[in-house]
Amino acid sequence: MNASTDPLKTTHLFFGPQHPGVTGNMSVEMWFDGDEITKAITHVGYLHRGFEKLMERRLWIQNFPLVCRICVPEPDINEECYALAVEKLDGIEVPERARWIRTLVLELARFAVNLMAFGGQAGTIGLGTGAMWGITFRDFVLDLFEELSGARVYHMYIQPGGVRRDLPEGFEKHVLEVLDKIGKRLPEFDRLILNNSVFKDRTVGVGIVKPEWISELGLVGPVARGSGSGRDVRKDAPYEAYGELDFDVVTEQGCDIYSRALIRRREIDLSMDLIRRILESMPGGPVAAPLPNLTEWRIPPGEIYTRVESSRGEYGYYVVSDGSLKPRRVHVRGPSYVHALTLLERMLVGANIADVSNIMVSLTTCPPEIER
Amino acid sequence: MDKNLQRIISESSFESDTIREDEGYLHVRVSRVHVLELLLSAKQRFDMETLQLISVVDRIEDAVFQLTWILEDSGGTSVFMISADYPRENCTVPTIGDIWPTAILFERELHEMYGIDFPGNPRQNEDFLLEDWRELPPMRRDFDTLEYSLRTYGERRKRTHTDPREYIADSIDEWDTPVPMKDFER
Amino acid sequence: MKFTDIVSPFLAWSRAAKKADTIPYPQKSNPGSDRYRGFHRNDLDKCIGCGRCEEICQNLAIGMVQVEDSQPVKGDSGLRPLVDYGRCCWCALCIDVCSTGSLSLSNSYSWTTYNADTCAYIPGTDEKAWDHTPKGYSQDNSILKWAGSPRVSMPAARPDKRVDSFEEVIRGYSPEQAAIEAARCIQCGLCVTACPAHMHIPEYLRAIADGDYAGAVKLFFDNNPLPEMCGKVCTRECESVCAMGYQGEAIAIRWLKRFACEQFESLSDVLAVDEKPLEQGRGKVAIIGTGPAGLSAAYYLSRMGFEAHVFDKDEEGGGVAQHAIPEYRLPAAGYEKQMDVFRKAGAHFHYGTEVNDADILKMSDDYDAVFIAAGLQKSSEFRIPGVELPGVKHAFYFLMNKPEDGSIDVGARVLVIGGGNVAMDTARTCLRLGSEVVISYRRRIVDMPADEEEIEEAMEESIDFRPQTIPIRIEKAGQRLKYFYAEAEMIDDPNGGRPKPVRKDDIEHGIEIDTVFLAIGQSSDLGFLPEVIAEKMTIQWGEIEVDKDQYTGVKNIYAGGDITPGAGDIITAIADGMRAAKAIRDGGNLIVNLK
Repeated sequence: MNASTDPLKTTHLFFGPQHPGVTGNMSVEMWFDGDEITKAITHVGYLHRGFEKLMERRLWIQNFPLVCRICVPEPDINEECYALAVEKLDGIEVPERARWIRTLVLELARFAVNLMAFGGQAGTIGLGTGAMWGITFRDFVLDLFEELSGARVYHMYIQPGGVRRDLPEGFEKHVLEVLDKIGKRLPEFDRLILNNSVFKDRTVGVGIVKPEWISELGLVGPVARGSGSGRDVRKDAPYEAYGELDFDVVTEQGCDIYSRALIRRREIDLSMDLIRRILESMPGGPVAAPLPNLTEWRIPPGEIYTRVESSRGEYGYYVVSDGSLKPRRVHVRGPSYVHALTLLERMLVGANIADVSNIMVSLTTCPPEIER
Repeated sequence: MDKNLQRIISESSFESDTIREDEGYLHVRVSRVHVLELLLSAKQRFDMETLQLISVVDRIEDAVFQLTWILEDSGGTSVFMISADYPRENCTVPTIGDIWPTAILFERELHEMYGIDFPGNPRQNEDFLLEDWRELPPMRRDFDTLEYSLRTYGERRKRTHTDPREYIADSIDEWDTPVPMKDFER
Repeated sequence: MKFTDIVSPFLAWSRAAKKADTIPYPQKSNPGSDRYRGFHRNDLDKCIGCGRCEEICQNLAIGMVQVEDSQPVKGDSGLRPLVDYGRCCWCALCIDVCSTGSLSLSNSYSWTTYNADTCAYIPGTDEKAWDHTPKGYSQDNSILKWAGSPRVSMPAARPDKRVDSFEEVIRGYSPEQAAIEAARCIQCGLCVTACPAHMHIPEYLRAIADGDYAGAVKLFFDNNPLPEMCGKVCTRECESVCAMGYQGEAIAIRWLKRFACEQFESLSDVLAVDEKPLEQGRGKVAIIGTGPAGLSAAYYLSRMGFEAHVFDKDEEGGGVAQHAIPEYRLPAAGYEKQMDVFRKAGAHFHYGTEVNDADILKMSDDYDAVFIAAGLQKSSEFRIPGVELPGVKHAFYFLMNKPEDGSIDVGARVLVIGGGNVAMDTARTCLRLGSEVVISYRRRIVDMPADEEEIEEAMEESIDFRPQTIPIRIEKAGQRLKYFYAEAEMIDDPNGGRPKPVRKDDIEHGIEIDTVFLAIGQSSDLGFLPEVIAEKMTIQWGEIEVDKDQYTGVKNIYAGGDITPGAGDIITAIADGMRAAKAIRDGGNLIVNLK
């Protein structure tokens, strides 16, 4: 029994797994002295559905509708990672237009998540209006997804070899309409959240991620970029059409929750800009490469690690084929894996108990991608 | 950056097989005795500062676990992967938790899912995803998920199902061949 | 702290005066988008019950079930998908792989049942409100090509080169090509419903895809002792119903059969026919005719322990199938490889033995059963003025006389009257002999009974097709002949039959030719049947009626092949032979000899 968990000096509390302040279903076991946390342990396992094991029992094609379920707000990155891995292992050439449509879908998804996450950050400190607005704005983007792929949440649209359907008639116009509609409301959003003395008080200087932790722990995405790092897979190892799009990686130096919220806010602007440019340079042509008989589709033995940039940072798939009809191993590496466990446990020590969900949301921890 | 990746193995003193090579991407297989040395040199001399993942492939047919360490450089532009085979029985792999704190977490998962022992990992016996798991580690290839599920949760309502191929064969008496030449399972 | 940071959040109050973004559901309906993936619909007119949807479903949400008392018919298994919404994940893979495109998803997403177990229905059969909504997710095979893909093209000799010789046109697949083509099969088994012999097609395609060629050959011989011949010239009913043919191209089942046979020098070695101990002394059977039907019966009877004696008036066996089909389609070289199997199986061949009515009577005494598979012997007569002229010949006899060696002079310009396979074979043979060839046919090209492929190849070889031409007469014109014809137009049959060619005008067109070949059909010659037997049989249009066991109704006497009514192709004849063998096995010994 050490000082940080001494029952005479500390209070022992479980936060989650069912709690509105927790992102998804995970729990944090905390010991605190007064208001100050002395020790925190993250517990996961409430969402373990055995995706990786399931994938070893499914045909290659049957996995693409499965992987998207690993992440609710941003399913497309899973489809993209899986499709990239399969394409590289089997040597499939993806048509040009499919690559651009995929980029569009990924950027729309990032746009939707950042809207929700930015508003959600305000929600954790009681600014419920911001959270509602974020969800409403995201819903406008979901309407676009419904029009494009036929589903609002699990799009199952990016499949190995390309995308499943061409853009529907008038889709470009609808996207621009939604961008304009949301774009007009964003200043209002800023006034509500960023220029809010309550929000600033609760986030500036809170939840510090030290820059030296980035390499040590392998931090990625807004968490790393909010602490001055320029890591962004879209720039570092461009996939799909990102290599052909010129943009600046968004970084902030504050290291705190406010910086991370600012990163998300600026990412929204970047996504809107990228979506407009993608629509402008969308090439023509086919949208899917031919695949062999799907139930007899064997992929040559090989191993690959593919990574894409999700709204939470680098997202990786390690896929192994043994030449059979089914994958030998698919290992999903979500950014929350480290963020929600190693980093969160470290950050919470010394934090105020009221800031726990605030910190957690600023890391956008997502239990499904930890547990798979 | 590719040159840097090439140098990691060309400046090492031992044999390695390249599994996959690409722009900013190198995956090598080495003997398990050289893994720690290669990991350390990649981190200290070649800027491969970040440990992204430790993964396992259960190659049950060869009675080995193939472990893979995935490293990235500090800028995130290149990926370096090291694979090595470890015997499957009582599999023991040295921990690298003192080099990368995140390894403690990754190894904890592998310990639970594959039963691999990482001596020296302080947290490997904590439950990660499963509570009170007393069965075979579930990600091993010899763990039968269907059998486990039937035993634990019982069978779900019977599913109606007829295979068209068998239905056709039976209804036209296709299998009444005067002289069957080949025995095969239907 | 900035003053504006305190004030600005309150500006959000201005929203209170504006219209809400949310939809007041259920007061206001919110239909799914045009592509929404909702509940299933199934167009039963298109569904063939191939089970592809079930196979691809990763959640086991789809199960093929019997609908009422449906039975498999040609090209339809009779099963239909039942979708369980307790399992469905709306991925729509079933839609994108549906071989006919019958399955689709509507944009309806709301349905309530009070029990999870009843949240399932058979789309199309169980009526639902969304059955006729036009919106929803339906297949677009032009994008994904998951429901059907093009076949691996068969290497063939170029049309301009191949007309110079009788070398085989089709070159055959390489093992790599065969593996790819065989792997396209979705193992639904619909082809089996169409094959007269019900060959184990999905199983042997799987064996070929896996590289197990010997296994494939063994599977052929389960229902077909002439796989190499069928692999080259079968009418391939199987491919006509192939599930992959609806949105793409049918699997090249015939070429794959040919491919597997070509992998072996000797088929009898693969089968080990002579090593397998046979049950002896089950009886003696006489078989008349060594065409596909006779050979098929001889093979199965011998293998089952019967003593099979095959009689043929020709000096060598094979029948019309082997002799009338020209070299470039069915090389004679492959014949010996097949006969080897029959001989090693123990069949006794009696060549050059013409069977007459007295023989038949005697056979019905001496043998436990007689199988008549004499085939069609006569070329049909055609009555227009001038058919008796010396340059007018019957195409069927011409082909049977092995014209490949050039022993028959056909002249510089040849006319073939007819549109069947015999007409095509004659035309293309004459082309290879160096003549210019014209084909005259009464109906349109699509109405021609010849194989589509034959017609296509003939066209590639620049044969002059003159469809919709009615022959009027043939006249002598010096050393040559002159053929007169009139152009026809197609008039629809008010009774629903196929359109009839009717002479369009009074204009007579004439062309000069050297030889006219009549190819308007063949008929049987039943002269060898003793009257006492023939009168007990039902004979119509020169064909002997039989029951499903090939039984003629006369004790001990079975018939099959072209002499009985039916499709008149090789595989039907083979199936007839096998059925007769099975019937003789099951009842042959019990039948009391006819006296």
